[in-house]
Amino acid sequence: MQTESIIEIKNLQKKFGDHEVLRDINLDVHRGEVVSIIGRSGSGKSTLLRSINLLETPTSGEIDFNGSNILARDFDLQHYRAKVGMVFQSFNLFNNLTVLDNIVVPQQTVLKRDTATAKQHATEILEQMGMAPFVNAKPAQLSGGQKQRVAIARAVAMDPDVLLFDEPTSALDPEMVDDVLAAMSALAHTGLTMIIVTHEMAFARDISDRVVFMDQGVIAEDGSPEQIFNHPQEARTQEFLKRYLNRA
Amino acid sequence: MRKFWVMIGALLIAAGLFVPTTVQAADDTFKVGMEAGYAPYNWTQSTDANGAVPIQGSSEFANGYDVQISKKIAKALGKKVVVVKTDWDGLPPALTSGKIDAIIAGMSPTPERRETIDFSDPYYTANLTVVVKRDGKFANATKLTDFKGAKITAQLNTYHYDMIKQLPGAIKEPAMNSFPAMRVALDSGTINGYVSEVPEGITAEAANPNLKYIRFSKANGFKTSPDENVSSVGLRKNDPDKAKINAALATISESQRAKLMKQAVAEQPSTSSDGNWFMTIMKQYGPMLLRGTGMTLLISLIGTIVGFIIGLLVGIVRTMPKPKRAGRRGLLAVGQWLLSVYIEVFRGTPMIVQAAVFYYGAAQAFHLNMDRTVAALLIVSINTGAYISEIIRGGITSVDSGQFEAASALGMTHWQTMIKVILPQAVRNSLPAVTNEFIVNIKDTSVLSVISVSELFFSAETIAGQSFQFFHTYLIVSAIYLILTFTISRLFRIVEHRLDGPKDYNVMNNQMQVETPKIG
Repeated sequence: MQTESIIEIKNLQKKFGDHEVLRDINLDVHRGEVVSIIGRSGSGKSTLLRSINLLETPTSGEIDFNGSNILARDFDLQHYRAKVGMVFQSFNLFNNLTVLDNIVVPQQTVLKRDTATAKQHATEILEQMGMAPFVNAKPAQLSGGQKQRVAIARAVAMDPDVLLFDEPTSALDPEMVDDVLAAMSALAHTGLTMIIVTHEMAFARDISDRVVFMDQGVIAEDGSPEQIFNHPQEARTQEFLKRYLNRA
Repeated sequence: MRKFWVMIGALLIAAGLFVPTTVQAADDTFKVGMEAGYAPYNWTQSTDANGAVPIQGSSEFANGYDVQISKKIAKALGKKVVVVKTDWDGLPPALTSGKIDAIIAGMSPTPERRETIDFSDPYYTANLTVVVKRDGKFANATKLTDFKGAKITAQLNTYHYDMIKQLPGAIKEPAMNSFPAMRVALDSGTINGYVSEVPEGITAEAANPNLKYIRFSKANGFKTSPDENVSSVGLRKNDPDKAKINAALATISESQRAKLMKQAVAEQPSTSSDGNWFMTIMKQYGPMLLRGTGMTLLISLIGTIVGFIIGLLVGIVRTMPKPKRAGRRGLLAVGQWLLSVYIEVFRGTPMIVQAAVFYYGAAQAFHLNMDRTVAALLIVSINTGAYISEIIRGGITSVDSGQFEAASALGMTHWQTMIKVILPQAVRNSLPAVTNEFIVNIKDTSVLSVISVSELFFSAETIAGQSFQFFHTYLIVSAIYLILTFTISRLFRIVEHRLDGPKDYNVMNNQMQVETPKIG
């Protein structure tokens, strides 16, 4: 299924001081596509993801969302961010709010939804995530896996066009990982556009429409899961996968 | 600097909105400043017996020789006496700043004082004496040369203190603040005597049977100039009423003055100390202590709350991100600089100095006559605000950066993020430090006695001065302070626990609270 591009990254560069973290990145993500970004730590994959919703400001280049440049001065950033959700490695639930309010408050403040609608929406999504019994809990009372499912619910409740996942399972105990991955798989099947930075190779292979391998700030290889995992063209892709797959 | 004052002014107005500014412009009152703690010239009592006069801003009364003279002068002026109880050192600034109309406090018209204020003709002439212990080494002294090796002091900023040099061989101890303090020092043996005037000596003997004043013969006593051993009414320079006041004083003959002083000595508060000391103090001064406690609580509570609001606002502004537009960025930079000046100034100077500058300085420079309680509330609020803004700023920066990122990623603005997410956490994290500020305020309001706010410490000073029971009075007062601070720290602990909630989440107990979404 080849649809129109929802996110189009052109010649993106990001420097931290003199250190060039991203070099000449070009990436098209189509509506409904699930793209996994893999690569070593420090290869620039998280920076790329954070640049997409401008948690990092790119040094140069262009990012288009539905055809309009998000780096333009008059671009409505708040509205864009509501359309592009993000799930963090360290969950970042609002510690002062209950599970329910974590999901209700952003809907109220950003989308101006009324309380009843926001609550109903939140409750439905928490139900899907298996977190309904915990609506009144505070984040400190939850396990890592539970927190991440609430964080996903919070992002989903904004009805985003694109969801970004920044190593969503890296901070979890192994037995918690499967719950979160299951929740993500379920989302992938709803046709949501997803960009996932992950070290879960088996998961990336199963869930993705496309896999991007990054190395030293550039996209080294970009193809279908079958192509990347079974017939990698580049030597550095082969080397990376050999180490990862042997370990797994 | 102008901008700084404008900002301070704006803050004052903001902080002052909740308190009605009382303006006292009644022209038919004659506001007289005195310590109300220098019997028999002036003292504080709890009833209006023997023709006592109410003390402004309290429910106590003042009486004594000075008060009786004040009444005679006021009568000649066609006005009514109001006593403004003021520390000795606060009297001249209170006069020049217009807080009072005259000083009638047993003050001598020395040349130094004449530089800043004017004086009437004398209204009392007193001989100097030395008060000593009745059973001490110097009890039998008859002349000035008998005080070799004696440790002698006198009240700070009086000519009495300069007179010590007329005692050959005496050791000049640091000057002390008040007569009650010197009596206690003498009784406890830290000094051997203090220079005083005969009426005060009579009082000291009456108040404490262990004390005695030396009856010098005319030839053997202190040599004083006519400026020094008399008391005059202190007036602002060019006071139009000076002639009338002098005329009124001229009508009081020498024998009438002697009679008035004798009467004052007889009427001054006695210090019976029979029975249980605690019950005695509580019975006589309980209401005064209660009012002092109430005032301390009021000032520190409102000061902490308003200071918290100031601190919250300042803390928010100081952590604002740089706006994109250059104009706003410049505005924010200027605002942040001004706020850091505010914080540095109010954290870097003692509150007692701020209070004096603010209350007396504002009156002198801008003729701004402020109610002293309002002034106290403002000072404590602004001072506390400076501290709490740094506490809040620390609380905001200590909130995990992931909280900001998550909120930004959801599309929340800086303000939405602050109000919904960051501030609740920052305030919670700041609570222990804010509790600390509250407790510090309870104790530090005691410095407001410099502007004569009748808080707990000021009441304690008054009671100790009247009852001469320093140790017992301050013991009771420290117990009151301790009860206040302990209760507050416990209360805040409970609040913190309630905010934090339980560590574990019980699904069974909470499942019932799940709201079922209404379909439709």
